[in-house]
Amino acid sequence: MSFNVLIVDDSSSMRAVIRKIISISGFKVGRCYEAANGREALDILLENWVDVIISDINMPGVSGLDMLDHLKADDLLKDIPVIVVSTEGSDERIRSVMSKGAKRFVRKPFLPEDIRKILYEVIGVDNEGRYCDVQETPDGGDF
Amino acid sequence: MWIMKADTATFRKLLTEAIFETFEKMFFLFLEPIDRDPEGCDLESAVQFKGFIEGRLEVSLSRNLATAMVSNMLSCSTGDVTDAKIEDCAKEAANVICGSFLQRLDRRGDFNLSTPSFRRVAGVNRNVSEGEGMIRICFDSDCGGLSVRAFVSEHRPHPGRGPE
Repeated sequence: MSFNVLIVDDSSSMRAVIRKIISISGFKVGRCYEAANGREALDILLENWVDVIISDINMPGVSGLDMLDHLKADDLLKDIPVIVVSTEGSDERIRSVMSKGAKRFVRKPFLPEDIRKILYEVIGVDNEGRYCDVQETPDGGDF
Repeated sequence: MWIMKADTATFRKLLTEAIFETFEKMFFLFLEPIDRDPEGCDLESAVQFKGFIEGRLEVSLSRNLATAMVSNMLSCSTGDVTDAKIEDCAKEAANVICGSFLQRLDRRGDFNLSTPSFRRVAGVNRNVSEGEGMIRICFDSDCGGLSVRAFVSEHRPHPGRGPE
C-alpha cells in the first residue's frame, strides 16, 4: 500500500529536503506533489487524491493557516491529516495551528527522524505500509 | 527603547545557539565563533520580525559557504548548485535562525516573520556598530565566513507580564 503526499513550502530547497526524507524513510510513497503556497496546494487537491499534507505556515499568497481553514470547511478534504513544519514555533502559534485541524507540528530546524516518526504516527502505518494501532497523544499534539 | 545590557548578553547567547542549531541540523556544518567580520561575505538574506520585540535579522555569508550549505542540504554535488538554489537556501537560513532565536527568547510569545529577502552586497556593512540596537555575531568555517546581525528596533513590555 502506498500513500500520496503533498508538500507545501515556498522554499524549493525545503520541499526537496522533505521529499528526500520521505523517500529514504521507507515510507511507501505513491505520488509526491509539491506546492509553493496554499493556493497551489488547494488546486492540486481539486484534481488529485492526497493521503497526507506536510505544510509550512508562512508563505506568500494563501498561507498555511488559510489553507487549513479551507480544508476544514470542505467535507471532502477536512479529514486529510496535515503536518505543519514551520519556524514559527511559539506555544501560541502551535495552539492556533492545532485548533485549525493540523495533526502535528514540527519546528524547523528538524532532524530527518522527526519527520519520519511523525509521518508514520499520523498515517498510522508501519514502515511496510501496514496499518497499525495509532497512539494519539492526550492533547493531540507533540508539545 | 534599546534593550538593556543584561538583555544584550542573553540575546547574544540565544542567537548563537539558534545559529549553531540551524547550521548543524539543516546544513551539517560546524561553525567557529570569531571576533571580527569575515571577509568575502557578499550574499545577504534578511527577515523582519514583529512581536513583543520587533526588528530585523540579517545573515551575510560567502559564496563558498552558501555553496556548501546547498550541497549539504540537498545532498548534491557543488557542480549542481545554482544561483537560484543559493538564494533559496540563504533565505531559508535567515528564516530558520530567526524563528529559532525568537522561540528561545520567548516560547510563549507570538511573533510574525516576514517573507525573507536576498541580495548581493559588497561585503559586510561595518558602518553600524554593536550597541546601537544591533547584535553582531561572526563565524568561520571550513567553507567560509558568516556574519549574523540582529537589529531590535523596539522593546515593549510583554503583555500580561509584570516588570522584569
